[in-house]
Amino acid sequence: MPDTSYLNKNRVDSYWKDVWIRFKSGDVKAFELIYGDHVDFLYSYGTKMTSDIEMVEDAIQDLFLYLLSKRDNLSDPDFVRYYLLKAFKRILLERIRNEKLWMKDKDDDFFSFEYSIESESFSHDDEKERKLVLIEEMLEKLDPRKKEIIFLKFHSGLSYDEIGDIVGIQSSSVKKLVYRTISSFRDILKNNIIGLFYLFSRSSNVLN
Amino acid sequence: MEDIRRYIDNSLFIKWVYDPDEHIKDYWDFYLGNHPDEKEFLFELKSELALFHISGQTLSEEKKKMLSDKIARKIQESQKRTRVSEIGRFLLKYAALALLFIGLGGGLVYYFYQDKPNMVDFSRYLEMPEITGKPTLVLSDGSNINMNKNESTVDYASSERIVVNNDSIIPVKKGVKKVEALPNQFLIPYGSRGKLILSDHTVVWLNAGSRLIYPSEFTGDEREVLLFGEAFFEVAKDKSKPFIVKTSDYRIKVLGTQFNVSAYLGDEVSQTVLTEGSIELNMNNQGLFGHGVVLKPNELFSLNKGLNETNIQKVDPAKYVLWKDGNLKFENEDLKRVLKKIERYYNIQISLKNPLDSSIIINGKLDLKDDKNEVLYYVSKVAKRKYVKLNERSYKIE
Repeated sequence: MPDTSYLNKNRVDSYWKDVWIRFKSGDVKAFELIYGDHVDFLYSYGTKMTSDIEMVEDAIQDLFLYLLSKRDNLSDPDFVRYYLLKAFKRILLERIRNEKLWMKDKDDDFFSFEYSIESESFSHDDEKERKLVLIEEMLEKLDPRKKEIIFLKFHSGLSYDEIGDIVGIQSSSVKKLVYRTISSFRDILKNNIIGLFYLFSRSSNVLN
Repeated sequence: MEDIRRYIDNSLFIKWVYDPDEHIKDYWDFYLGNHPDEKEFLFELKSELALFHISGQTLSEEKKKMLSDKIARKIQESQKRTRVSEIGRFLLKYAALALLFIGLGGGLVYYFYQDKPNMVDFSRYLEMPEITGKPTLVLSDGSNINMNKNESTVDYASSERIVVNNDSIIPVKKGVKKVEALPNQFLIPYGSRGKLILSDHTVVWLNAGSRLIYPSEFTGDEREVLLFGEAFFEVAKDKSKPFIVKTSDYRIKVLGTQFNVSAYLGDEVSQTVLTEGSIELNMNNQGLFGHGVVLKPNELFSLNKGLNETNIQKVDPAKYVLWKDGNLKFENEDLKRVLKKIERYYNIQISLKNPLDSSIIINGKLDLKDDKNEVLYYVSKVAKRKYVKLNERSYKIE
């Protein structure tokens, strides 16, 4: 049986606990390890919240300095990424809010969780391209929070509980949403009918 | 429906779709070998989910490094600050810290600059440029020349042209020379080394992660260069024009000699060892020394920056310059310093599972031309530990 234990290194491994403790003591090397492991994820998450790249970079910097400034009260997380994301989202939202103060939007989801498919994955394969266009159309119909959930589900390694906590809904709802979205997407891909999706998006109001 | 759940809640499956590596491919090959009936369904689901590959924008490697360095610098500065005042730590907000860093940086500029107002203005080069990829030459007009080799040579010995790696030739712009607006720079990233022949025929070998700032021609009554990192100097004799190496903590004055300087900004200890002739060392912060100290052959000068302690001892200088031929020799050196050298040489990161291991004493000689895995294997063996590869660039010793 191939060894896949390394996959869990981000979660419970004592190695990352050590790194975290060293980071809290201000060890630059430990910072670099944590940074190297999560910066791509944080950056790609951040650029989905805002198109202001500099703001995302500043928020990443703020995140680490914030954690360090709070080190005496920091717990030792089981999953560093979840911990980072939680603080990062708050810091980034704060910055976005400051920029958009005039937007007195009651809804907390005023950020635009832009969802676009990687351009490199477009090929000259007509069939594939047709599917990609279809998917993009479908994703556009989703509200920002649902987009965020799908993004976190496939690209963060976070559990349903953790995703629910980040997005602010119950984990059972997250689960339901993920299953429904994926199976509807698959149906649409198979049948090539975008109309089905409208049906789906009207009937799935688990979040509202 | 049930089938999908089983797979999309399996982190091994998600990794296979979005972030596959050899391990995960092996795992699923093995799995499908045992469950051939699931093959068709699995592959179909995988290709469908792959369509959702929606990673956002990515940071370029350079930007990633730049941002990391910026944060690391701030962390380091905040550490220095906390050592000075433990109480202050609770009061300082990081916004206020940022202002403080500017103040500290200013102090450093002053050290470099205070005694020679007529020399090249080094202060503007204190901001460390990112050194990644291959060695880079920065010319006096500000243009960059990227070398295509990890081991690169640059030759200024002829007054008409600069010779790079024995072939490509850059003409020296005659008009620019008089004004000499900008000094030249040779940047050596981690994982590389460089050799530089200055206009006075002084030869400088630069170790990984180093940077030398120098004029394309020495015009004043001193030959002055600025070093960040490690270099071996073979200074051409010229009694009328002393040769001066400035580092972040001290300056070295010589007439003609051979010596090695290790002065990385991030290192706790800065060392200079003399193989031939004599040199004079003066702290930038003169108050500590009063006058300069004179180093004799086979003597090693070390400065512990944190403790502000200096020390001179007799050593075999050969082991301090082996790096320029791709060798390292350790005599009662602690593991931490050994690993640091290996990290720079191969541009990798090595962490210790047990921090106490950093003081394990290492003796031995390494040929760095070997594969890094082999080198790590030997070091681990000597330390009676094992090494684990975390990814291409990071390793752990446990």
